[in-house]
Amino acid sequence: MSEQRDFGRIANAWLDLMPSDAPDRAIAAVLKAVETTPQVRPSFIDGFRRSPTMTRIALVAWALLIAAIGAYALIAGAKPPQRTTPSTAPSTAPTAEAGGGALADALRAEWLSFTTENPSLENGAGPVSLTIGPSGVDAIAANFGPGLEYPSTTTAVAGDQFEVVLTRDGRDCHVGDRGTYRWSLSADRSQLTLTSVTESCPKRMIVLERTWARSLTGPTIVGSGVVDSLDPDFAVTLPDDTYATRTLDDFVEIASQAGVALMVFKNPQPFVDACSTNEERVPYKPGADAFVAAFRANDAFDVSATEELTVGGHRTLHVNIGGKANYARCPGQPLYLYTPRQCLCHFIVGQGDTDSTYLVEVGEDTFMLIVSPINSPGERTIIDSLRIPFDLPVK
Amino acid sequence: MREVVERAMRGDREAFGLLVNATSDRMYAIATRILRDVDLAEDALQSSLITAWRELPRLRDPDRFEAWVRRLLVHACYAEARRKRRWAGNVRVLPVDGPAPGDDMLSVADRDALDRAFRRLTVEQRAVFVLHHHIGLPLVEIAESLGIPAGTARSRLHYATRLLREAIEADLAPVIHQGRMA
Repeated sequence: MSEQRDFGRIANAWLDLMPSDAPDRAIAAVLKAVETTPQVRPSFIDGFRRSPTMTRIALVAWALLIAAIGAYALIAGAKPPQRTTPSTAPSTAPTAEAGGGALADALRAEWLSFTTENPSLENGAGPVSLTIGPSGVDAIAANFGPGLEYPSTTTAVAGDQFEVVLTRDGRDCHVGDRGTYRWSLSADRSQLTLTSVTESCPKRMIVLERTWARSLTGPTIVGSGVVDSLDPDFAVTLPDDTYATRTLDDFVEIASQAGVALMVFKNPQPFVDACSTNEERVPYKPGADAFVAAFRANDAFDVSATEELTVGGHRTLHVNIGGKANYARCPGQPLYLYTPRQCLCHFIVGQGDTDSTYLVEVGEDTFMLIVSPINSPGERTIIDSLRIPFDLPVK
Repeated sequence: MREVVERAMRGDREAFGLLVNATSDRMYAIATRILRDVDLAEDALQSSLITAWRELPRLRDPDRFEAWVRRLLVHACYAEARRKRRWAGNVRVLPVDGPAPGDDMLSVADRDALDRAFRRLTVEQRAVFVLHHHIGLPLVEIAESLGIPAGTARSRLHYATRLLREAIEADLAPVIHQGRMA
């Protein structure tokens, strides 16, 4: 290899490794958000900034004149009782609050349910969702079928009720159609039940009036909910916090701002050589024992503290897997660990670092869970909260 | 393009959809390279495009749409990088899907060295490096695009280039050493 290599070409080749095609789901999410996001109209200040210089000077002069007149009036007519400046008398509560307010933050999430076939909606059976916007005041259903999304503004009208107002014509319903729903959350706030109080859009009622399970793969401030990005769905309870997720094929990571995180891998498959980026995989064998055996046979790793337990009714192995410190074959390099069987990805661990790993056997599949911080007091509580498979509420 | 931008500025969602389809791949490519994380990049892409829609009526020059939205994107990348999501402890997923390509230009050692060195750069340095090396923007245009002085853009690029070059050279050293020993 020449030492006179062209840095620019190497840098470009390296930069080219990253993907360049925006995922369809990202574009779809943007276009969906745009449907209910108003544009900001230019303000006076924007207009001012865009004005030609002479116009700006004229506006500034005009503003100075007004200010001077105001100041003169204030000084000349200095008796406080006769001031015409705005009254400082206490006002009543803002009308916006009197007429309704923001929804409880715990409602702002993506909610999942399973709908049965419904002739009046002409929809088939399948998973559906309801998003109550994290940054706005909007609710929108998904996957019921065309015209059944019913994007609506939401306003709290009582402690346990909110009003929805349709913002776009939907199937058999029109902009402005109003409905009022009573909501209740389960004790752990993982499930939301909506009951119609009034509704001028009957099909929206069929869509909304059901029990919903909180999705942990959407933005949420509550840590108890369902993950539907792996098959089968599972439910888990994490400490309450603001969560974000990232997903790969058969992998999900749910991480809080405070640093609590749960990683879940389906059917993890070890790599043959911890030092090689060829990523040759150990032939897949189902079950926790086969996975642990592969690591025991690999001298790049230490395997310790194997413990057999039951999680959610399933046989589970708890095992610590760590990269050997100062591993001689590739000193200083991270070690290649494993990948979910269906994922073209690769997970690595630093030399000397150890993870507390739970391998849960669910039928033919093995789900591997890692909680961060490693070996924290709450680790076992999170693991024990696992319910897999988890059935979404059905209606 | 200008006509489509002007329609979108007037609130035409369909026109904005055309702009999204026309620019999103280029924007996503920039974001993934700055952030080295496809999920964070997706978030940055989405938030910058939604901001673009909201703020579009304030765009002064429709012909500058792409530069304007690129600036929104880079700032969204700054925000994503600073959200300090703390992904789980010791296990890390590498940012590239799939095995390394068999590119003679880029050895596995180079790739790992560049990955590690790039993470030591600030997100601002990364942005300048990516806009220069991947998009091919000249420094003056990068400075204008990011709203920073040209000197600042130059020093960020200089620092980033030096660090990454040193990383490759340091990585090369033990290989040569081993070769001699053999």
